Amino acid sequence: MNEQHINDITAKISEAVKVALGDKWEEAKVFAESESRKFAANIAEIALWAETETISEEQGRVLLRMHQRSMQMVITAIEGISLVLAERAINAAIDAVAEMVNGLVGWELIR
Amino acid sequence: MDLLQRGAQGICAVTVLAVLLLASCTFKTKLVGPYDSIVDNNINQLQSVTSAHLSVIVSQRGNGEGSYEHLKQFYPETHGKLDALIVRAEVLESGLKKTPLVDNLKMLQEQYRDLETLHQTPFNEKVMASASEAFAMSYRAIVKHLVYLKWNQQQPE
Repeated sequence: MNEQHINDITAKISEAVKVALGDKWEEAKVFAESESRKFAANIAEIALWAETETISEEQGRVLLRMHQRSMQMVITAIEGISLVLAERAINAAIDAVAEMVNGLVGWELIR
Repeated sequence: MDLLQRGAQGICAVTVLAVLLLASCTFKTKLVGPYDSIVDNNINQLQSVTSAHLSVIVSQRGNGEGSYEHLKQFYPETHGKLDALIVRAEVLESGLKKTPLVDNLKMLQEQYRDLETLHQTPFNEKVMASASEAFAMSYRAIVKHLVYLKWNQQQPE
């Protein structure tokens, strides 16, 4: 296997990952950013209500905990989405180079 | 955002690592559990029931049919439904290093405990609106994750 082969494998992998993921990563980013903005606005609102005594101390504490947990759930979902995308990327990369690598080594290294 | 950058870097790093390990990795990589329509349908139902529950509390201003006394059965019922969903998700994600669906369902269950606490405090429309927004965000997170699991399953092998 020479340098040209390695370049070809790299190019095939890059293309396969790009096709496999499409715009899904971009979509996940937009989701995370939009939820982060909502989280910030909700926390600011609770702080204002607590300051003006619109809500009780207990209500403020519980609401804060609820919103923190919601944001934690968004982050956990993003982690789950990242795993979905990673799984697709890895499998697409392996599929894309299987034939080429097997041909180069002369036996079925990748099944 | 750091998390997103780390996520993108993580995907690239894992992909490169996988390719470098081709010689020893001849099976399909499995990082996530399968999409499950039963979990999806139950989550949609739970979201809808929760939304109706919050609407009754707000429309009745926490009194009469919207009071805690009148609606308290909602909480153990919801915990029971979530317990069943958590067991199902545990089976779906068994053997995986990361279990985001199970983790999120457990956190959702904690949110119902918080809602129950709020329901027992004097009614405040702002509090209920904010709690409702927290639930909306939590459900969006779970649904978004399920959408990706479904997409993953629909892609050709």
